[in-house]
Amino acid sequence: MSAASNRGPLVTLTAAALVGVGLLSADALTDPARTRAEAPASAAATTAAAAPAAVTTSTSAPPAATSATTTPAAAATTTTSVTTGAAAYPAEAVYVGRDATRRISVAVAVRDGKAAAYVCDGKSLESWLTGTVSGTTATLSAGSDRLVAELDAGWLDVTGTVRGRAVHVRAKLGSEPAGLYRLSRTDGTTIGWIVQPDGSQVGLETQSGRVAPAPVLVPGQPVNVQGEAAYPKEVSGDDRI
Amino acid sequence: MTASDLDQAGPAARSRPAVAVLAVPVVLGVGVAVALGVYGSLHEGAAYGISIAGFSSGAVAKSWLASGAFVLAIVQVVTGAGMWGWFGLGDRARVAPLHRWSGRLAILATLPVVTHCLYAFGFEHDNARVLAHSLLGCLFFGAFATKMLALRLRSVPGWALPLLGGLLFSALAGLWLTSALWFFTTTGVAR
Repeated sequence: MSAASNRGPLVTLTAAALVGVGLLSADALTDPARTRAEAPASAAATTAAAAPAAVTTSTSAPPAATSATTTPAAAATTTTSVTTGAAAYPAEAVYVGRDATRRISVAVAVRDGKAAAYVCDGKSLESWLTGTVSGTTATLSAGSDRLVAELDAGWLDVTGTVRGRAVHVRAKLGSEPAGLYRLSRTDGTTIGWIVQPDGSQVGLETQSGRVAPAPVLVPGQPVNVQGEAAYPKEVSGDDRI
Repeated sequence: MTASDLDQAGPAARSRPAVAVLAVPVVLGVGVAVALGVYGSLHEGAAYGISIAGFSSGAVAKSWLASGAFVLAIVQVVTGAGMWGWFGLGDRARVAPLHRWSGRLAILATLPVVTHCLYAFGFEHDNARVLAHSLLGCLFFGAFATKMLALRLRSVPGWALPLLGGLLFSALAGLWLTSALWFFTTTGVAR
């Protein structure tokens, strides 16, 4: 070929590499795992001075710890969880994960010392739990269902019993669209969705005891429930469920 | 397998293109692919990425960008073949700019996607789709680097560029099938 002593391909390759590195840097610099610890401080200040002590300290104390647990260097040492396990919950966050068999999904939302969780297998099993946060432990319940969510080096270790079944899930800090979504209608229909960081989702719809698969959720967009458009809400830890 | 290879192979290849001239581009391309895989494996998925304006979610934005890149990749195949006299596209000098710029746009469209994949998820192997997508992603950018570097050579075997171009298109098609098409068919076509 008469190919090219020209520099075009090299320029293209270099430009692509630079843009790629730039985008990765932008991701790293704006990662909420770094900024989240600072942002809720202002939100907490405006909402309530009456926030529990555990939360107010968490906004100021753990920025270094929370960002450290998600950096690549620290990720390689997640097994040495004891050293970084002391980090407290962010003022507001949602953790999502699946159990080892990938059958049961769990999402735990925390906010200002309160926690809300949803356990769902996408077929028949589901449970909404609420509870409180103390230090690195959130304790949730609903009827005889119990969950304990323990922070462990950036992971959330969720163990408990739901509908008589043992649940054990390692959940990760999620950001939109990953998270926990809920739709509660006046006719008694309740729909819950857990959206995983990889975009997959599970959900169930219940109406007067009948359980059905949830319609597909596109976060930020309405879903069709019995012919009407309805807007699911992202669940926050202090929501009343 | 390093620069000394190129020094010997380069001049010799002027008269008779030898496979050996491809050693440096191939080695560097493999290096790119392996580096991406290693970074993706070591970096703990942050489940976060910068957002792109105008879309309801990152996954939607990525799906449309990947689809755009895939359409441009079809342009790439047609114009690439056109430069070898196919399809009666005419003068090589007329087709080449279109080939170059559709390729640059396609790569540009993939960059926000791959950086999000790498930063938010990393190299994953939870299921066959995700594993195939991770492997194809590494292959695609390795092949891209190889092709860009091979284009710089004074002379390469006649099959080399079509092979690399075909590899790029196949990898991108696989990437699109295992991501955007999967997303649109499971979640629905959304903006």
